Amino acid sequence: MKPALFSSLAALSLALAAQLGYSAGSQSKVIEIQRLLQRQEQELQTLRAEVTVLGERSPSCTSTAHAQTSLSPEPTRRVSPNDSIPPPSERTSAVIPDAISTTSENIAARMEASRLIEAAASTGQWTESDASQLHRLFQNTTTSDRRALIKKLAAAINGGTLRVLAKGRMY
Amino acid sequence: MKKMKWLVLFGIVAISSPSLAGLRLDEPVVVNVAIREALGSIGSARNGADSVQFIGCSIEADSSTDPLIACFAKDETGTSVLCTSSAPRLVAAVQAITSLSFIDFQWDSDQSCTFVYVVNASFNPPLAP
Repeated sequence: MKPALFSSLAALSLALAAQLGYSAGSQSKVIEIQRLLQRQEQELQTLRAEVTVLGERSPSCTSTAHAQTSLSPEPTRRVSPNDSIPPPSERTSAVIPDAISTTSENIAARMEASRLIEAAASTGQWTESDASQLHRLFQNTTTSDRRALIKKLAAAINGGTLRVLAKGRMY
Repeated sequence: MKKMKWLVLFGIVAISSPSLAGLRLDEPVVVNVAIREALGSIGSARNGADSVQFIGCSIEADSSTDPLIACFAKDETGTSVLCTSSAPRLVAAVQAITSLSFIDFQWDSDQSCTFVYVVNASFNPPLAP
Protein backbone atom coordinates (compact mmCIF):
# COMPACT_ATOMS: atom_id res chain seq x y z
CA MET A 1 0.00 0.00 0.00
CA LYS A 2 2.75 2.41 1.06
CA PRO A 3 4.87 1.99 -2.08
CA ALA A 4 1.80 2.68 -4.22
CA LEU A 5 1.06 5.87 -2.25
CA PHE A 6 4.67 6.99 -2.54
CA SER A 7 4.78 6.35 -6.25
CA SER A 8 1.53 8.25 -6.89
CA LEU A 9 2.83 11.15 -4.76
CA ALA A 10 6.07 11.15 -6.76
CA ALA A 11 4.13 11.17 -10.04
CA LEU A 12 2.05 14.10 -8.81
CA SER A 13 5.16 16.04 -7.78
CA LEU A 14 6.74 15.43 -11.16
CA ALA A 15 3.61 16.61 -12.98
CA LEU A 16 3.48 19.75 -10.82
CA ALA A 17 7.17 20.47 -11.41
CA ALA A 18 6.70 20.05 -15.15
CA GLN A 19 3.68 22.35 -15.11
CA LEU A 20 5.61 25.02 -13.18
CA GLY A 21 8.54 24.72 -15.54
CA TYR A 22 6.23 25.12 -18.53
CA SER A 23 4.60 28.25 -17.09
CA ALA A 24 8.00 29.68 -16.21
CA GLY A 25 9.11 29.03 -19.80
CA SER A 26 5.96 30.64 -21.21
CA GLN A 27 6.41 33.65 -18.95
CA SER A 28 10.00 34.15 -20.07
CA LYS A 29 8.85 33.93 -23.68
CA VAL A 30 6.17 36.54 -23.05
CA ILE A 31 8.74 38.85 -21.46
CA GLU A 32 11.06 38.30 -24.38
CA ILE A 33 8.29 39.17 -26.85
CA GLN A 34 7.39 42.26 -24.84
CA ARG A 35 11.03 43.38 -24.94
CA LEU A 36 11.15 42.81 -28.69
CA LEU A 37 7.96 44.83 -29.17
CA GLN A 38 9.39 47.65 -27.05
CA ARG A 39 12.60 47.65 -29.06
CA GLN A 40 10.64 47.72 -32.32
CA GLU A 41 8.51 50.58 -31.03
CA GLN A 42 11.67 52.54 -30.16
CA GLU A 43 13.12 51.87 -33.62
CA LEU A 44 9.88 52.98 -35.21
CA GLN A 45 9.91 56.22 -33.24
CA THR A 46 13.53 56.87 -34.28
CA LEU A 47 12.65 56.27 -37.92
CA ARG A 48 9.60 58.55 -37.66
CA ALA A 49 11.78 61.32 -36.19
CA GLU A 50 14.35 60.80 -38.94
CA VAL A 51 11.73 61.02 -41.70
CA THR A 52 10.25 64.17 -40.12
CA VAL A 53 13.70 65.84 -39.98
CA LEU A 54 14.44 64.92 -43.58
CA GLY A 55 10.99 66.02 -44.71
CA GLU A 56 11.50 69.43 -43.11
CA ARG A 57 14.90 69.81 -44.73
CA SER A 58 13.82 68.97 -48.28
CA PRO A 59 10.05 69.36 -48.54
CA SER A 60 10.21 69.53 -52.36
CA CYS A 61 11.56 65.98 -52.49
CA THR A 62 8.96 64.27 -50.37
CA SER A 63 6.74 63.71 -53.38
CA THR A 64 8.23 62.31 -56.56
CA ALA A 65 5.34 63.59 -58.66
CA HIS A 66 5.85 67.08 -57.28
CA ALA A 67 9.60 66.88 -57.87
CA GLN A 68 9.05 65.89 -61.48
CA THR A 69 6.76 68.76 -62.30
CA SER A 70 8.41 71.64 -60.48
CA LEU A 71 12.03 72.67 -60.44
CA SER A 72 13.09 74.61 -57.39
CA PRO A 73 15.09 77.73 -58.32
CA GLU A 74 17.89 76.88 -55.92
CA PRO A 75 19.49 73.46 -55.85
CA THR A 76 18.47 71.41 -52.85
CA ARG A 77 21.59 70.39 -51.00
CA ARG A 78 22.33 66.75 -50.34
CA VAL A 79 21.39 65.70 -46.84
CA SER A 80 24.35 64.37 -44.94
CA PRO A 81 23.67 60.97 -43.36
CA ASN A 82 25.10 62.26 -40.05
CA ASP A 83 23.16 65.52 -40.00
CA SER A 84 20.88 65.56 -36.92
CA ILE A 85 20.14 61.94 -37.51
CA PRO A 86 20.79 59.15 -35.02
CA PRO A 87 24.31 57.68 -35.23
CA PRO A 88 24.90 54.87 -37.77
CA SER A 89 24.77 52.22 -35.04
CA GLU A 90 21.13 53.12 -34.36
CA ARG A 91 20.20 53.40 -38.02
CA THR A 92 18.89 50.43 -39.96
CA SER A 93 20.91 51.42 -43.05
CA ALA A 94 23.57 54.02 -43.80
CA VAL A 95 22.48 54.22 -47.44
CA ILE A 96 20.71 57.46 -48.33
CA PRO A 97 17.56 56.83 -50.37
CA ASP A 98 17.74 58.47 -53.80
CA ALA A 99 14.39 60.19 -53.29
CA ILE A 100 15.89 62.10 -50.38
CA SER A 101 19.23 62.97 -51.99
CA THR A 102 17.74 64.17 -55.30
CA THR A 103 18.76 67.69 -56.30
CA SER A 104 17.30 70.01 -58.93
CA GLU A 105 20.35 69.16 -61.06
CA ASN A 106 19.42 65.49 -60.81
CA ILE A 107 15.84 66.23 -61.82
CA ALA A 108 16.89 68.37 -64.78
CA ALA A 109 19.33 65.70 -66.00
CA ARG A 110 16.71 62.98 -65.60
CA MET A 111 14.15 64.95 -67.58
CA GLU A 112 16.64 65.75 -70.34
CA ALA A 113 17.73 62.12 -70.53
CA SER A 114 14.13 61.00 -70.70
CA ARG A 115 13.43 63.46 -73.54
CA LEU A 116 16.57 62.27 -75.34
CA ILE A 117 15.35 58.65 -75.28
CA GLU A 118 11.85 59.67 -76.40
CA ALA A 119 13.23 61.78 -79.26
CA ALA A 120 15.44 58.89 -80.39
CA ALA A 121 12.53 56.47 -80.19
CA SER A 122 10.51 58.75 -82.46
CA THR A 123 13.29 58.62 -85.07
CA GLY A 124 13.86 54.90 -84.46
CA GLN A 125 17.62 55.26 -84.16
CA TRP A 126 20.02 55.33 -81.24
CA THR A 127 23.15 57.02 -82.51
CA GLU A 128 26.62 57.41 -81.04
CA SER A 129 25.79 61.03 -80.33
CA ASP A 130 22.70 59.92 -78.35
CA ALA A 131 24.81 57.40 -76.46
CA SER A 132 27.46 59.90 -75.47
CA GLN A 133 24.82 62.50 -74.56
CA LEU A 134 23.05 60.02 -72.31
CA HIS A 135 26.37 59.05 -70.74
CA ARG A 136 27.03 62.72 -69.97
CA LEU A 137 23.56 63.20 -68.48
CA PHE A 138 23.93 60.06 -66.38
CA GLN A 139 26.72 61.79 -64.45
CA ASN A 140 24.11 64.06 -62.86
CA THR A 141 21.43 61.48 -62.18
CA THR A 142 20.82 59.27 -59.19
CA THR A 143 21.26 55.51 -59.41
CA SER A 144 17.53 54.86 -59.28
CA ASP A 145 16.95 57.41 -62.04
CA ARG A 146 19.65 55.75 -64.16
CA ARG A 147 18.01 52.39 -63.57
CA ALA A 148 14.66 53.79 -64.72
CA LEU A 149 16.23 55.49 -67.73
CA ILE A 150 18.14 52.35 -68.76
CA LYS A 151 14.86 50.44 -68.53
CA LYS A 152 13.19 53.04 -70.72
CA LEU A 153 15.98 52.76 -73.29
CA ALA A 154 15.95 48.97 -73.01
CA ALA A 155 12.19 48.85 -73.55
CA ALA A 156 12.60 50.73 -76.83
CA ILE A 157 15.62 48.66 -77.95
CA ASN A 158 14.31 45.26 -76.86
CA GLY A 159 10.89 46.06 -78.32
CA GLY A 160 12.48 46.79 -81.68
CA THR A 161 11.35 50.42 -81.92
CA LEU A 162 14.90 51.70 -81.47
CA ARG A 163 17.70 50.41 -83.68
CA VAL A 164 21.14 50.77 -82.16
CA LEU A 165 23.50 52.47 -84.57
CA ALA A 166 25.96 53.40 -81.85
CA LYS A 167 29.07 51.27 -82.00
CA GLY A 168 30.06 49.92 -78.63
CA ARG A 169 28.49 51.26 -75.47
CA MET A 170 24.82 52.17 -75.63
CA TYR A 171 25.31 55.03 -73.16
CA MET B 1 73.20 9.07 -94.09
CA LYS B 2 71.90 7.94 -90.70
CA LYS B 3 71.45 11.56 -89.64
CA MET B 4 69.51 12.32 -92.78
CA LYS B 5 67.22 9.36 -92.10
CA TRP B 6 66.44 10.70 -88.60
CA LEU B 7 65.76 14.20 -89.90
CA VAL B 8 63.31 12.86 -92.49
CA LEU B 9 61.58 10.75 -89.85
CA PHE B 10 61.32 13.75 -87.48
CA GLY B 11 59.90 15.86 -90.31
CA ILE B 12 57.25 13.28 -91.10
CA VAL B 13 56.22 13.01 -87.41
CA ALA B 14 56.09 16.78 -87.00
CA ILE B 15 53.90 17.25 -90.08
CA SER B 16 51.50 14.41 -89.31
CA SER B 17 50.99 15.22 -85.58
CA PRO B 18 47.80 17.12 -84.70
CA SER B 19 48.35 20.52 -83.10
CA LEU B 20 47.94 20.21 -79.32
CA ALA B 21 46.13 23.48 -78.61
CA GLY B 22 43.22 22.17 -76.52
CA LEU B 23 39.50 22.58 -77.12
CA ARG B 24 38.27 25.83 -78.62
CA LEU B 25 34.60 26.71 -78.83
CA ASP B 26 33.31 29.42 -81.07
CA GLU B 27 30.15 31.00 -79.64
CA PRO B 28 29.05 34.02 -81.66
CA VAL B 29 26.42 36.33 -80.21
CA VAL B 30 22.87 34.99 -80.40
CA VAL B 31 19.97 37.24 -79.42
CA ASN B 32 16.53 35.73 -78.93
CA VAL B 33 14.06 38.50 -78.16
CA ALA B 34 11.11 36.08 -78.05
CA ILE B 35 12.49 34.26 -75.03
CA ARG B 36 14.40 37.32 -73.79
CA GLU B 37 17.86 35.79 -73.87
CA ALA B 38 21.23 36.76 -75.30
CA LEU B 39 24.44 34.73 -75.22
CA GLY B 40 27.87 34.46 -76.71
CA SER B 41 31.52 34.59 -75.82
CA ILE B 42 33.41 37.83 -75.70
CA GLY B 43 36.27 36.38 -77.76
CA SER B 44 33.99 35.00 -80.49
CA ALA B 45 32.12 38.28 -80.76
CA ARG B 46 35.34 40.23 -81.02
CA ASN B 47 36.95 37.80 -83.50
CA GLY B 48 33.83 37.47 -85.66
CA ALA B 49 34.09 38.22 -89.38
CA ASP B 50 31.44 40.94 -89.10
CA SER B 51 32.10 44.21 -87.33
CA VAL B 52 28.65 44.29 -85.79
CA GLN B 53 28.23 41.79 -82.96
CA PHE B 54 29.21 42.40 -79.39
CA ILE B 55 28.22 41.24 -75.91
CA GLY B 56 29.10 42.46 -72.45
CA CYS B 57 27.99 43.87 -69.15
CA SER B 58 28.78 47.08 -67.33
CA ILE B 59 28.82 47.81 -63.64
CA GLU B 60 28.73 51.13 -61.87
CA ALA B 61 28.89 51.98 -58.21
CA ASP B 62 29.16 54.97 -55.93
CA SER B 63 29.64 55.39 -52.22
CA SER B 64 25.99 55.68 -51.26
CA THR B 65 23.93 53.34 -53.42
CA ASP B 66 23.92 49.74 -54.54
CA PRO B 67 25.91 48.89 -57.68
CA LEU B 68 23.97 48.95 -60.94
CA ILE B 69 24.69 46.52 -63.75
CA ALA B 70 23.62 46.55 -67.36
CA CYS B 71 24.07 43.70 -69.83
CA PHE B 72 23.92 44.33 -73.56
CA ALA B 73 24.37 42.42 -76.78
CA LYS B 74 24.04 42.82 -80.51
CA ASP B 75 24.04 39.93 -82.95
CA GLU B 76 25.42 39.95 -86.48
CA THR B 77 22.03 40.96 -87.91
CA GLY B 78 22.02 44.07 -85.72
CA THR B 79 19.39 42.99 -83.20
CA SER B 80 20.30 44.68 -79.94
CA VAL B 81 19.18 44.08 -76.38
CA LEU B 82 19.81 45.68 -73.03
CA CYS B 83 18.79 44.98 -69.43
CA THR B 84 19.68 46.32 -66.01
CA SER B 85 19.62 45.26 -62.37
CA SER B 86 20.95 45.98 -58.89
CA ALA B 87 20.37 42.47 -57.55
CA PRO B 88 23.51 41.59 -55.54
CA ARG B 89 23.74 38.07 -56.98
CA LEU B 90 23.65 39.35 -60.54
CA VAL B 91 26.15 42.07 -59.64
CA ALA B 92 28.48 39.36 -58.32
CA ALA B 93 28.08 37.33 -61.52
CA VAL B 94 28.90 40.34 -63.68
CA GLN B 95 31.99 41.01 -61.60
CA ALA B 96 33.29 37.60 -62.66
CA ILE B 97 33.33 38.49 -66.36
CA THR B 98 36.73 38.58 -68.08
CA SER B 99 37.88 38.73 -71.69
CA LEU B 100 37.75 34.90 -71.68
CA SER B 101 34.10 34.79 -70.66
CA PHE B 102 31.06 33.24 -72.22
CA ILE B 103 28.00 35.24 -71.15
CA ASP B 104 24.35 34.28 -71.15
CA PHE B 105 21.80 36.73 -69.78
CA GLN B 106 18.03 36.90 -69.59
CA TRP B 107 15.59 39.65 -68.73
CA ASP B 108 11.93 40.12 -67.87
CA SER B 109 9.15 42.25 -69.32
CA ASP B 110 10.32 45.15 -67.13
CA GLN B 111 13.77 45.02 -68.82
CA SER B 112 15.32 43.88 -65.54
CA CYS B 113 18.08 41.32 -65.89
CA THR B 114 16.89 38.13 -64.23
CA PHE B 115 19.77 35.75 -64.96
CA VAL B 116 23.47 36.13 -65.71
CA TYR B 117 25.57 33.06 -66.51
CA VAL B 118 29.32 33.44 -66.86
CA VAL B 119 31.77 30.74 -67.95
CA ASN B 120 35.46 31.52 -67.75
CA ALA B 121 37.19 28.63 -69.45
CA SER B 122 40.12 27.75 -71.66
CA PHE B 123 37.83 26.69 -74.50
CA ASN B 124 36.51 30.23 -74.88
CA PRO B 125 38.52 31.96 -77.57
CA PRO B 126 40.87 34.73 -76.49
CA LEU B 127 40.59 38.20 -77.95
CA ALA B 128 42.39 38.52 -81.25
CA PRO B 129 44.01 41.87 -81.92
